[in-house]
Amino acid sequence: MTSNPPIGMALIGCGNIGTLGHAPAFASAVGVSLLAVSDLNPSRAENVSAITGAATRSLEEILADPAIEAVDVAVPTEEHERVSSQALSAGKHVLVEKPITTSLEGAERLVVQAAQENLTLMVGHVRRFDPRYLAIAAELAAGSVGTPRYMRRAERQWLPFSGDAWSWSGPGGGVLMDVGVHVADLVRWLLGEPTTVYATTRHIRPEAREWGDHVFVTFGLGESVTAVGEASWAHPRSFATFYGSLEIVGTDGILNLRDAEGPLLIIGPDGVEHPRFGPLLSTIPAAFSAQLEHFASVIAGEIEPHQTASDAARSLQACLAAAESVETGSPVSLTGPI
Amino acid sequence: MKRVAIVGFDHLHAIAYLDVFSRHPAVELVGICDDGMNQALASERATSEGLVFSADLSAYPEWAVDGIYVGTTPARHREIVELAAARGVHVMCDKPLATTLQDADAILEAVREAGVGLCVPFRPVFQEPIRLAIERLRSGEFGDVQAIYAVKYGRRPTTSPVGMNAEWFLDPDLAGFGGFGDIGSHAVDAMCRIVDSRPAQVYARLGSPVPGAIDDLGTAHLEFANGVHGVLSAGWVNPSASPRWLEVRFEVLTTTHTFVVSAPYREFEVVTNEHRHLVPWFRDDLVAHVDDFAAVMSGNPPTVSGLDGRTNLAVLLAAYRSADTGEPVAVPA
Repeated sequence: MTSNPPIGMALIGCGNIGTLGHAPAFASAVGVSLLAVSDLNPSRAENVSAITGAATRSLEEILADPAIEAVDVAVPTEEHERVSSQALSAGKHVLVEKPITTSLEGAERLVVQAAQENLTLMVGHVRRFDPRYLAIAAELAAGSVGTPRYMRRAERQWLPFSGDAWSWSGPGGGVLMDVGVHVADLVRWLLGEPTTVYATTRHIRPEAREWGDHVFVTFGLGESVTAVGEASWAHPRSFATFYGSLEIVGTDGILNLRDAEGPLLIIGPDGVEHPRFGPLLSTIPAAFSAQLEHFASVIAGEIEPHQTASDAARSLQACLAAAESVETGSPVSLTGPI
Repeated sequence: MKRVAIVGFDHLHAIAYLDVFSRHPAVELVGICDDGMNQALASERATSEGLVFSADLSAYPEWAVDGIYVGTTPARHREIVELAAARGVHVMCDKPLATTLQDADAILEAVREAGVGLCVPFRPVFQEPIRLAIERLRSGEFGDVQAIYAVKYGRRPTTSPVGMNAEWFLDPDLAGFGGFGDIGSHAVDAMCRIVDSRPAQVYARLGSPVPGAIDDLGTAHLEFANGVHGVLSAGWVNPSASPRWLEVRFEVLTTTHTFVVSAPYREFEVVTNEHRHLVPWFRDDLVAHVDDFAAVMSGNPPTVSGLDGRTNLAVLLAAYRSADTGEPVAVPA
């Protein structure tokens, strides 16, 4: 935690994750101060401005403002590289939503630019700041289940966006790129580097035209370790509180996180409700705050980043390999650093 | 009442069927043939139950039986079933039906020619929660199945609590498969029934705790002929402190609904200062197997046919080949 004055920041992109995940985190995060918010859609920016008290500004105004030292980029994935690159050129540190970009070449360009400008570039793989996964990582490190040999991760929901949202058909859209990258990143964080990737997808809801809305992906990590992921936007809306589960089989035991078995049930005359604990199914609010605090501490030079941007690019690489496997019908090998 | 014998006391299920046959109203258990590693136990149990015992696996035709349960190691199923068929005896053959497709085809041909019945006692389809899920899915009120994820974890069979020697499970020449095949075959049968199709292609990865040892955990992508995609994780990985011998989970996504079957039986929980376990309070599956076998002996079609057993074997063989080659493998028709 930084003892320096708070770092002036702006939130660029007030869509779903910007509004529900990033914006509220500024209120509780220590070491950052949200000075401005921006969105191409003025009503979205005004909405977040009303919640956070930060001014509504254009991207150009934000990049020209010397009081703003860093930006939180939560625009659609296709725009990650362009907006992040502009911000780096303007001398701003960048926290960009996952996946880092839509291409490995784009990711590499950003990494090189940040290094040249001597600025912090961090990717919002927010699971790495979520207490439940941190506790699981600590449990694995303590060795209570032995050496992990198998992992199963499911992230499933009913995507509440209309069919014209970029998530369904735009570049960088699809459940594999948007949610699957979390799965890939969790596998890499907890188990290690995949060497092969195999995936199948299905188009289940009518909104899923270009990209699949349900994916099964298997990551092979060498000969003896396997991770299987499921990511879905096609589960029924009321599946909500069953969103995620994680199982790890080790040589000495099994670790099981079952989000479905939430600790609160409300039973009424017409059914059973599993109430939600935050605005997002996938992540608790504290994880976004912890991510911002970490970002501020890295900028202040107090700590090394939990994950480098190059490392985050490898999670994108694993997803792109899964997409290639879907296209070719064959497993795809992942070899060497990108 | 149909007269039955147990031929082979290698399979862990043999001792369970001994108990169920003994009290099932539709059958009369007359004897046990066994020449394997559990011969002493089989002979002792036969004596205590007042049954005939023979160490010759071909002795039972003299006992005038209508049917036999085959509980030998799978590599011997073909010779046992061929003899039974030639003697006009109906067969309930434990899984896997065989260890090669050639043997499975020979088994199907033998029973077809002889006109005897053959059933394969896969478990899940006889378990109440899964039967109910399949029944509800087939009603048409829950959309079309799109995706299925299945988990089936057992403990290593060598930790059998019933005093049987099950070392052969760890010998691929005798068992045909390791943990994925042993445990996963049941789940594959259930998945086919839930999806109402058969896998056309399989991609699998199998794990071993020690290089070269038999597999104990596998994960397989199953692409069904009707377009449904699925994943199965199965093996001998259930830790001994797990509250159940078997962990079973089927998660089914349809166009409108999600079905989650999280246990094979209805159960209650017991927690003490030493351990926690779950006690199933209604185990109808073994009795249902014997109901089914009795129906087969009366000339009726089985719930799980020999052809289903052959399809199941073809899926397992494709999964093991995929794990060897690293490529998806088509399942032969």
